[in-house]
Amino acid sequence: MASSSNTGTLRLSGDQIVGMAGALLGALVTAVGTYLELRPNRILGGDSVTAIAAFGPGAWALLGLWALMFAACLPGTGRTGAMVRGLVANTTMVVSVLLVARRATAFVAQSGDVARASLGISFWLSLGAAYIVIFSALPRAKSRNARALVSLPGIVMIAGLLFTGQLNSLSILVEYAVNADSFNKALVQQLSYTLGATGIALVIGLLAGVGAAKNPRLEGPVFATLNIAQVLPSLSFIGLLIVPMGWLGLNFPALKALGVSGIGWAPVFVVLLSYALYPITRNVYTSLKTLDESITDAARGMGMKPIQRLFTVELPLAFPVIIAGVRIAAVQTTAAAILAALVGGGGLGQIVFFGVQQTATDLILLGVIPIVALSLTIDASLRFVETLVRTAQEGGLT
Amino acid sequence: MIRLEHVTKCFAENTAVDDVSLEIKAGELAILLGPSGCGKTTTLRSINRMTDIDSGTIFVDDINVLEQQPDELRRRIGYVIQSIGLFPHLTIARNVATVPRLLGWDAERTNKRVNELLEMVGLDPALYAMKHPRELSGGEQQRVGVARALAADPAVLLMDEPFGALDPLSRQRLQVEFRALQRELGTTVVFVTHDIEEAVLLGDRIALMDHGRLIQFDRPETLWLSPATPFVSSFFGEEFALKILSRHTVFGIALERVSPDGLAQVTAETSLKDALATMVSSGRDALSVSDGLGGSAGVLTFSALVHAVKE
Repeated sequence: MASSSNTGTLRLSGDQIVGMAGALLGALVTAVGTYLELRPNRILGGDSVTAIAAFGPGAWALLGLWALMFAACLPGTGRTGAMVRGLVANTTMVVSVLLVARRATAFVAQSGDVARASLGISFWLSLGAAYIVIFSALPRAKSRNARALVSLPGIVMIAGLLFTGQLNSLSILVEYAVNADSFNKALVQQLSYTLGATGIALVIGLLAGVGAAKNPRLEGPVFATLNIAQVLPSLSFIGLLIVPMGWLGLNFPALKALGVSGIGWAPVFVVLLSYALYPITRNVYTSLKTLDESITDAARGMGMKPIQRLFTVELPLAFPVIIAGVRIAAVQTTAAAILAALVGGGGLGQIVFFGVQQTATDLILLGVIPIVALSLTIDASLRFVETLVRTAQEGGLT
Repeated sequence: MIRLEHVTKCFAENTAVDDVSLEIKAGELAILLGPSGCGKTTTLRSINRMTDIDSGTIFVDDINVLEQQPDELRRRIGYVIQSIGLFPHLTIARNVATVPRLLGWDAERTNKRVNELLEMVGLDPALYAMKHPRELSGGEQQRVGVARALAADPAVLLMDEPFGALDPLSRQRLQVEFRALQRELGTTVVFVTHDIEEAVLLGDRIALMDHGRLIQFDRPETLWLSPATPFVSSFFGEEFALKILSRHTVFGIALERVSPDGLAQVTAETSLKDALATMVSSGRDALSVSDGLGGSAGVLTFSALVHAVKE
């Protein structure tokens, strides 16, 4: 399977080459480069240390794990090799996080409360390397359970360490502890932007998409409008809205009470909503337009009224495609909401910009990492819903 | 039962149906036959108003369909199409229950009817009711298609090349079973096909169409013996006689009381086409017909067979 045994020579397959590259990168960044930065305080520069300098024997253990992953990519290792390297990559992630946490705790204990232990570029690269190895193993995992086993345990255990406070002496979590209030507020704002804009876009997008699909006269205007919004660069779009939104806020007390004004959440929300509308409307429209004609013909021939056809046949069949549109919109909104911080609209972008102003890398990461995690979680969970619905509609996995 | 009067329908520049008038009797299986583009499907779809006609009138059960709500009209007329069009996200039971649900039947009555229908089309409800269309073969899917169309016990069934996409074996089986079912239920059927064999096998009468016009509407035997135009005979071709033979059985033909020794044997249910084939392959111009008790009821000669068909 892993090699072309019929020719008698052992050859590497694509996934094995990728796995080897990942393992080599992992070993390289464990041996050289800044794994940890140990600084006397938040501002001053400090010692950039390699994994070997930071952990001693622990680093040799890490190197051993990378070597094991490399070995599990050799020709002839097949599916077993893939499962082994996937599981070892997960283990390596957890071990390296545990090692940096332990070293950070020791350093802070020794150098005082203001001392900071930041994660270095090599640490982040080693996480990346672990994921390269994991992705190289995934195509060989046959069942859904095997894929979960190869891709999830590492990240789940690290999340567990994070939430049980095991990683609290790392600088990034010190930043969190210091900024907890503004961080939590920013996170709630970020979620409100994503959920609010996507939710409202889903309602409007369903109406607009169904309308455009059913009435050719609406098709042109709907997509012309959405296209204009889509091509406007986000910042200029926000800028354009400052005057009209300010006017609305000034002239309608009810809107003003809601906080509508030229700056703040309102213009950002309108921009996010406009961006989210496009993929949702497009997918609603396309999915309805590309339904199997024989099915709609049969539905009509049975004597279903247009509204009955829409709800019992057309929308259920279009549902997976519509969910895909919602997924794209939600991920896109999560990323675009960072800009809210520029006009006083809050969100995690604010944490990022604070970090930039203070040249505090760990504060920037405190803003960026949750955004990435949020995007990935939204993407994965909506993909899961999509698969679930598809499977249910097609009568199980037979 | 169904009456078309001067029905005309144009699409953009060409006339799909050109002044067609015909009357289909209750319980009759009428075939609309013709080359592709002759207007047979448009004619069929105008009956349940899937296509609205430009001029003329159509009566179903003496009611003018043009004065009916299209959706309500369609619920009373069964409709089966070549691509079947089962709803892939719904179970077989739920597919068959489509029209009863639209008509607001209660669950108990609907379930009872669904089971009855599945059995009628030869699918075990216990096995099939909860499956999804994807899990069924093409033939099984079209059985469900027929069951779905018959769900509310419609007096009229419209079928647009229903067996056209099936493999020859399932097509043949479904044709025979469907013919028997139709006779049993007494449903009036309008059946579109371009397959001459199918038309001759199933049709009580065949409406031959060409370029939107109705050329002749008659029993296959009449089309064969007294074609209205040269087009009729050229369309059915030289083999028409053989196809007519497949409609009739040995039963009812006068047999000769001579010795059946050495003759190949057929039964009274054998089609005349098969009987002829048996004569050819046995190299004799006569056959022994069994009496069903192991003996011979008499001898069928070639000339008796030819005369029987001509009558």
